[in-house]
Amino acid sequence: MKRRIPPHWILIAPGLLVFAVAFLIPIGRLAVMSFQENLPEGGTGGFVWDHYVKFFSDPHYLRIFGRTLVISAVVSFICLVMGYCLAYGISRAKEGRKLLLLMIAAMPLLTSATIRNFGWIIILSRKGLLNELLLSVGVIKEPLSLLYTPTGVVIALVHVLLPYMVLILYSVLEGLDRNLESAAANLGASRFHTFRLVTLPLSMPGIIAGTLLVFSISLSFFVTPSLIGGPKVQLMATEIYNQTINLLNWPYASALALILLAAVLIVTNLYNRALSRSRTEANPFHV
Amino acid sequence: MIAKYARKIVLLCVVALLVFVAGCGGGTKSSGGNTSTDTNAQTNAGSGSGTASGGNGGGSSSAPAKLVVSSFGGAYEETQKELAKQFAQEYNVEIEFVTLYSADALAKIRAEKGNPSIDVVQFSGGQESIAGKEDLIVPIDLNELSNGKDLYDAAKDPNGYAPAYAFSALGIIYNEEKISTPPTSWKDLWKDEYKGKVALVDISNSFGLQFLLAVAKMNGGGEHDIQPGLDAIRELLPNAAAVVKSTPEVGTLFAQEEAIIAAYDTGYAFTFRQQGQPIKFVTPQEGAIGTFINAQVVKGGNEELAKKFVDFLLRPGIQKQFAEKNGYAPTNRTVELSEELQAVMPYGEEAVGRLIRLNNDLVNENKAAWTEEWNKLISQ
Repeated sequence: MKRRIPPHWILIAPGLLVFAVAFLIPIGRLAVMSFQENLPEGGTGGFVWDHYVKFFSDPHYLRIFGRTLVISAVVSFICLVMGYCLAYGISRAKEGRKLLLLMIAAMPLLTSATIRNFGWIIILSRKGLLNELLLSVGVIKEPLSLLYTPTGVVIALVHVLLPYMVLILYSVLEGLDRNLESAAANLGASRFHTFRLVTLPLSMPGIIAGTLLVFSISLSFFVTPSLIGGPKVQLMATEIYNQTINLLNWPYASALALILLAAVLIVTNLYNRALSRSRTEANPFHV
Repeated sequence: MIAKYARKIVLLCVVALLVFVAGCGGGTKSSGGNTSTDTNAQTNAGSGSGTASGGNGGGSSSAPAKLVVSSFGGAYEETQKELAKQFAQEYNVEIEFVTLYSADALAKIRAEKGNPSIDVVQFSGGQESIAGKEDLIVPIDLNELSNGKDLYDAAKDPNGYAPAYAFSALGIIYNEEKISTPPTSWKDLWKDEYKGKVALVDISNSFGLQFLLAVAKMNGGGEHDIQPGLDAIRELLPNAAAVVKSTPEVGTLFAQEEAIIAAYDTGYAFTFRQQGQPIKFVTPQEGAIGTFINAQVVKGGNEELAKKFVDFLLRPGIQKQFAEKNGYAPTNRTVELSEELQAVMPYGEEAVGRLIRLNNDLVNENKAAWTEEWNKLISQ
């Protein structure tokens, strides 16, 4: 029996090849290295479980891991709320203004995250713009500590990642069939009910995609925690850097990287399942 | 059907790749070298194409050779670039500087072992002891260097690698407008009057590590016993304005007057002062920890030329200019400095001899454990 290569594989092949070379091979190396002993005279030795045992038995590293997850979840949630409002507003704007508004929302992507984070250092420091402003208006009496704190990291990360959320949610909200909303209104639903029962469930794919994207980027984001968080706010990405560069413990850094990767895969998978289920329940017609 | 096969194929691919990678990656001592050298070859070809293309085609000797040197960025690197022009002319070479802090530089030459993209690597945090042990740099016989005989003994590397070309010292830097009575001891940092005003430098920075050791020594510990140091740092934390990692961050803390006192480096105190900040440096009575800044010849690079560059950095004329522009003390005893300059840096046989040299082998052995303890301490 002759079997032809299905056409979609031909389309996928180039991307898959790049993916294999640029992602699978390096990750494979990391996986191997994460089970190797770190020798004091440099280089790596035989097979050991030590790095994983160390990570899961030391509360210090588990705390770093937990902190990373919490910060990413908070950032995703804030981005979702803010991004939804923005995307909703833009999709309901006048036809001629949409493009302009969308460009403004996506503008931050035109400068690198490093430069935007330097801006936040100037704004958030104890003698920074924000504190000077709040002090002069009289809202606060003592300057707030924002720089080198988790709060500062969350603020800066939201700024960096919000455009991704807006762009994804916008494309979904823009593609909605408005007739469904009119129909709901026609059948007597209030505006709030229409939003809750029609618009929100229909935009669920965008919500899932957006939060997953933001969550997974912020889990592994290095620049912002490093610049805004400083040495005190230790997250997985900064710890991997520390182990790689400062301590030259590459096997342990590899183990950390793989644990982070596994965490992203597990969390996103669970989240995707949970939300997809709730979507089918809320929307029995599978629209 | 298709989906079923697709899954199997993908799975097979992944397994095959992993096995392949495990096979070639497991045996070699420094894995990761291959991939990085590829990209380096590319970048070299890309950046050098303008000058090197003629040389490649005709094989002529007129195209200048190229020397890649790591440096620490900022004013430091600017000065070195300026001074290196003389070397470039004398030896008809093109010098390219890449900005890498010592730790990053060490990680880079380690990843590129055997096929380095850097010829001369500069260290300020004792990394040469690791690099030597891992066979990443080349030992140097001081008799082969024309300036080798003029060096202070303190400049010589205990393991036979390239000597220090500049001294710097860890002491106390402070804002002279805010602090009228100059501090005299490390203990002053713990004073109540500096609550929230001390810039504390992270252990990932060489100066932070040196300070931790200085504090440990002051309290009866040292390279063998870091605990007294960590305990004292715990008590210093309420005084800290912030814990920072890099020199620019220290500069910002002082510029914004968030911090008015810190344990930091004399060379950078000089730079901050040149930038217009009212910053002064004092050597604490416990003694200053020495920083022995050195340039090493990377194994497998352009070793001959690199050795000449190291020798060049030891020349009295170059060291004098370096001291005048950047505030780093000469390691060549024939260099004469103005009295004004002598006052702000460890100058002369006596002052140089007083610099405390840390046992880098012990430091590097224990650094991972100390870093873990430090991180636990400051993240509380």
